Amino acid sequence: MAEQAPTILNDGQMFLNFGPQHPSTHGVLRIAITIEGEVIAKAVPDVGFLHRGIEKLYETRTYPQCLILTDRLDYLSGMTNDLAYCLAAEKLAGIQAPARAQTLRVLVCELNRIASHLVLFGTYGVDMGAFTPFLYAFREREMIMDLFEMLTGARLIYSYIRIGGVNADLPEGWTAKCGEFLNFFKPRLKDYDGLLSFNPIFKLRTSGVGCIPPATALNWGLSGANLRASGVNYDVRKAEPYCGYEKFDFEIPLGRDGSCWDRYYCRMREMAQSVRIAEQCLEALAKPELPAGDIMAKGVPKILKPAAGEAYAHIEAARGDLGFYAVSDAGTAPYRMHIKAPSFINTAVLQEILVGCKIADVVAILGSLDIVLGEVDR
Amino acid sequence: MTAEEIFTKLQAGFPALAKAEAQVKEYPTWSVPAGSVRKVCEALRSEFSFDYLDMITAVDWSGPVNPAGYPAAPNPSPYAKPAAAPAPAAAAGKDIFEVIYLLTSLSSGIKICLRAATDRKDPSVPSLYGVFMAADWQERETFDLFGIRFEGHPDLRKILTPETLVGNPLRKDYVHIPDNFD
Repeated sequence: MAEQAPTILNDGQMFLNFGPQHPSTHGVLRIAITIEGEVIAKAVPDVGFLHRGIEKLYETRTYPQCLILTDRLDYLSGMTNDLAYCLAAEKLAGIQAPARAQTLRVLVCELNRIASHLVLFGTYGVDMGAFTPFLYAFREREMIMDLFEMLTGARLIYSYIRIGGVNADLPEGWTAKCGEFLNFFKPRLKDYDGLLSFNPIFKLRTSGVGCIPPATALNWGLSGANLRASGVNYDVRKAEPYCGYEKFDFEIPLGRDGSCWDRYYCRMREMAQSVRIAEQCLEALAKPELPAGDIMAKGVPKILKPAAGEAYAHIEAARGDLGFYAVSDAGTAPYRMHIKAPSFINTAVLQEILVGCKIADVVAILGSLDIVLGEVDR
Repeated sequence: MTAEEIFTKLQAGFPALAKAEAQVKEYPTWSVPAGSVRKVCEALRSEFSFDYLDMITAVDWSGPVNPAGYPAAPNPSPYAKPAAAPAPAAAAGKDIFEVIYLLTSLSSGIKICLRAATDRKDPSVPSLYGVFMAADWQERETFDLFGIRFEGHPDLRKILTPETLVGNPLRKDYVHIPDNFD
C-alpha cells in the first residue's frame, strides 16, 4: 500500500485496476495492470491492505501470548503457523518436544495441509468457471474441521501446538474417526481428477499458462508447490527434517514446466502424500513406544525466558517455506520476531510472470500461486 | 565443501569478513561490512552456488521496545508477578541496525547467515536486487518497517504500511500517533 509513480501510458495502452475488491484475489490484493489490447505490458501488485503489524505486536507480548497472533497469519492452515512459531521458540529456549507430541504435530499439520489444498482445489475451480468441485472440496474439508474441532475445540484458529508440545492428547474415538475420514478421502482424489484436473476446458485454461522456469523460480525465492511445480526438488520436510519427518515414507511430487496446471496438480498429488503420512502417524500413535499423555516437555515455564540469542526455524507449510527468525534478549517477550512468509515472497513474482500474458489469464495465474493475504500482509 | 572452507576462501577476497559474535543457532553466521554485502553475495552466488535467498530482515539493537502510545496495551498476564521488571536487554543500547541475510545452496544443502551492521542515523546497505530477485519485496518491507535504505534498489517504496503512516513501526523508538483508524 504505497503511493506509486504515475503510470505513463503509451498509445494504445490502457490502465486497469485488478482488486482490491475482486472476488478472485481471495483477499485484498490489488494489481495495477497496464494492458495493450489483451496483452499485459506491466503489472504492479500492491499489498498491505491487511497489515496488522503482527511482528511489532509480538514485541510486547510473552511467548505463549504470541501464539494467538500466529494463528491469524495464514488462516487456512493455522496448525503449520503454530508449528513454525513453536519450533523457533523451542530452538531459542533449547526445549525438545516429546516424541508423541512430535507425531501429533505431524498428523495435524498434514491434515491441515489437506484442508488447505482442498480450499485451493475448490476456489481454483470457481476461478476457472467450474462451481461443482467447490462443493465437494468443502464437504471433505468440513470433515477435517470436525476432527480439529473434536481435538482442539476450534475450527480455524487452533493454538493447538504449544511451546514444548501440544495442548491435548487425542480424545476417545478420534483415531477411528480420522481413519474413517482418510479411507473416505483416498478414493475422492480420483474423483477430483475427473471433476476438474483433467477436464478439457480446465486444462486448456491452465496448462502452458503462466510458466515459471526453474531459474526464475529460484531467483525469486519461490517455495512450496510453486517451486516444485517448476521441477526444483526442494522441500523442507526432506531437506531439513523436523518433528521426525525423516521417519515417514512419502514422496515429493514435482511438476515439469511450472505452468498453472502443474502448480495446481502438484498440490493435488501432495494431498495423496499427506494422507500417507497421516496414516503412518495414526499407526505410530497406537504403538506403546509413544505412550498416551506424553505430550508436553517437562519443565516448560508459563513465562518463558529464553537465554539471549537468535534462532531461525522453518517448516514446509501448505503455502511454502514458512520461517520464524527469533531474537531473545532474555526477556519475557521476543526482542524481535520476523516471519518469513511464503505467500509474501510468492506474490512478488507476479510482476515478472504476468507480463506478456493475456488479461484473462491473470485470475488463472494468481489462483495457482495459492496465496493467503493474511500471511502476505502480516 | 563445508561452510568453513567457503569462509576461508571468501575471506581471501574480503578481508573484512569475520565470524559474527552473535550466532544464529545452527547457522554459520558471518558479519559483513555493510558496504560489501552485494559483492559478497555475488561471490557466494557465482562461486559457491548459493542460489537461494531465504530471508532478509533487520534488527534494531537500540533497546527494548517502548509500549507507550499503543492503542491497545497487551493483556496483563495472570501469571506475571507485578513487581517483576523486564530483564535488562543483553544487547541494549547499541546504536545500530543489523540487516540479516539467510542464504541457502540447494545443491550442497549449506545454509549461512550474513549480518551487516549499519548506523541508525543514516542506515543504508547496498541492494541485492538483480543478484537475487527475492530481495525485491523483502528489501522494500525492511525499508518500510525500519527505514533502512537499500542503495541501488530501483523501486524502493513502502509496501505494507499505509502511505499516511509516519515513521517506521519496527524501530524500537517508534511512537504510534493515533489516527482515524484507531
